[in-house]
Amino acid sequence: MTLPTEIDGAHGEVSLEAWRDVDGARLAWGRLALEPGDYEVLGAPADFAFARHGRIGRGALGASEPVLLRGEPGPLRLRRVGLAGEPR
Amino acid sequence: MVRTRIAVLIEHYLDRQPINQYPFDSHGWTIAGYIGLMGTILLHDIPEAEVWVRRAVPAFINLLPPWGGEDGSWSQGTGYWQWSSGSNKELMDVLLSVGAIDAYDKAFSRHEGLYPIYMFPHGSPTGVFGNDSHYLPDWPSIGLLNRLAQVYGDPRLKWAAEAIGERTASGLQDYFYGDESIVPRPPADLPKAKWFETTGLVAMHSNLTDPERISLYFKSSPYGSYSHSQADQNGFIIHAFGETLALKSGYYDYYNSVHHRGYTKRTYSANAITFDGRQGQPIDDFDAKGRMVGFASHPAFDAATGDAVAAYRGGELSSALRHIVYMKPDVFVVIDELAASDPEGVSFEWNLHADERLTLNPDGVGATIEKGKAGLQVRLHGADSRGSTASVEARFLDPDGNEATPVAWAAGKSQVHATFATPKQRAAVLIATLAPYRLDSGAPAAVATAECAGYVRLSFEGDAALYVRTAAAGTVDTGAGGYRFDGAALAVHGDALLLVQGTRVELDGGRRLRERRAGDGSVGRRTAVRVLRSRCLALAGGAAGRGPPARARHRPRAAGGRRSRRPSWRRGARTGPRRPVDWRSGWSGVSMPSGWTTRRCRGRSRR
Repeated sequence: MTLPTEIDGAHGEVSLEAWRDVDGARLAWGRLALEPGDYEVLGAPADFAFARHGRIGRGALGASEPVLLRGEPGPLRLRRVGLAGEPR
Repeated sequence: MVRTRIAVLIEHYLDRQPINQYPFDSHGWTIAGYIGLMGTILLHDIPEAEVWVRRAVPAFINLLPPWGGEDGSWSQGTGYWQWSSGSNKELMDVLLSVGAIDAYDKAFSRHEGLYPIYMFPHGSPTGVFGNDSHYLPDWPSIGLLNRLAQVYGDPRLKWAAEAIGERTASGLQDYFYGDESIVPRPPADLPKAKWFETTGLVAMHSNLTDPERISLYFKSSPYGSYSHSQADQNGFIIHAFGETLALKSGYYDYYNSVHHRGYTKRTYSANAITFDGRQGQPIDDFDAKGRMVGFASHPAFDAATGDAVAAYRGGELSSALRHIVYMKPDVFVVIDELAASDPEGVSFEWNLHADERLTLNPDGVGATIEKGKAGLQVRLHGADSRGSTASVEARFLDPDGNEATPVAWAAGKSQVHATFATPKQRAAVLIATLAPYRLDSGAPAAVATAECAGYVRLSFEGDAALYVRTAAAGTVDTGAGGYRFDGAALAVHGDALLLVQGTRVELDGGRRLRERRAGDGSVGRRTAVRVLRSRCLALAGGAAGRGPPARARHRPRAAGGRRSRRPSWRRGARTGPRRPVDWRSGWSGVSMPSGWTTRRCRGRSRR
């Protein structure tokens, strides 16, 4: 499974490994490669979560951020914030 | 200097109060480990070192750990688990590295990773049960999970560590803990609920991977209220969406402070039962024990039963059973079967605690808790609950009614406490539904109540129902509902049934299920019913709920350079039924009755 991404306007994708949990529900996971920093989540598929932060609108993300997806894949859109000239 | 210091420790912990005779000295056992550690390091350098090893190491490894058992759990709560287990790894690793003893082969060690996965998972807004439970999962958990992942080659433990956060160098051993060759994997193959039998702990989760999961923790422990345990037998805690909702109140500002002793350790500080003016279980009493007597888990519901009657050491209560049923995905039902020894009865008190906002419902038989982005709607059901008087207290009061304010790091902190007290009565069945919800996504799950002769029927979204017996004993006949059962409650969802603390279910048409006699010969009220998959029903005694489910498909793999042992919860534990029984036999085609209404019932819908 792949998760399409748009990070600071750059399109890409992340490979997720997909399983079913003990109740048969689909669960996919992987890591998001990022420049560490504060990000705003502009859009995310339903049932997407950062494993460390949950369903955040904004937060500090690491260089290899673990992510989870329980539903259908959809675009994950992030924008880095806190840099000079960017919204804070 | 080392000689002098070790001599003091030996005098105190091996001579005057030998740890092998006083194993429940929390710091004493850890210190015995340090004596063994220094002896091992200085062996052949100073002559006393061999004596230190011979005296301390056998005690240490045989007791490992005094506070838990072979299922890997820890009775003193998540706070002291993280400290004690981290310290204990120091001697374990030294003994391993010198080729002496591999304490990671002990059953406790092999299963220890399950404890943080279930009781202290990533995203927890706080710890649970015991002193220092205000700590969140952090660097101690990361270090321990990485170490256990490394030793057992378990990718789930590595994922659990990474889900908490980045590796740090905060712990003494962290710099060499971990194995970069292990590819982390979420614990998707583990059941979402777990009973730790040796410590009387149960965790019920909506899922294990999402940090915004719904979780309930339930305790009925054989370790009493001693040391870092508190007098909270049959207490529960609810976390949801990353928030603390129904919490164990009070702070561990420091050991035996006015606040800690006067409030935090007391039963009334927990979501637990007190009576006649906040009387509860004694503190600092190893014999104030609870007992988890049954557990069941199924995709539609989980259930557990705790018996805390022995913890009320004065004998005032003759029954203190608490059943908790998780009607998935988002309602917990707490059922208390209470009885007083005195024929004149007592006032039973149902306690509920919140961190910030707790508002009583206008009708006085419920409350709403809000914290951060989450809420918890609490409603009491049934005639015994409806007669109760609700009150709210914002102060921390000691047993004499004096304020016991927290100090030190907890100075200025506050919480809110509610009590629902029944009139004086001989016995009561108190039924409460607790529904966590997100504040930004509307209302909590709806629960409809119907009070019938001898039982209360709770109906949930998704065509699920729970029948709760309100009579002291006997068979419940749901009439047009189609069930007759002997038990505390019967949960129904689709074709799946779960009988709580019971022995028999009959359906319309005469199909009947009875308990099988458990291996230890215990039957009747010790019997729990375990449901496996939909439409499958198994009856079991004390062994109910053991082991991962039948659908666990993925197993840890060993990689080069790591030991290939699989923890026995993967290696030895059976999955699902212990015999090749076709559980569906005789149940195919069983369908739910079409309607819920019975003429005998007065139905009331609440939201």
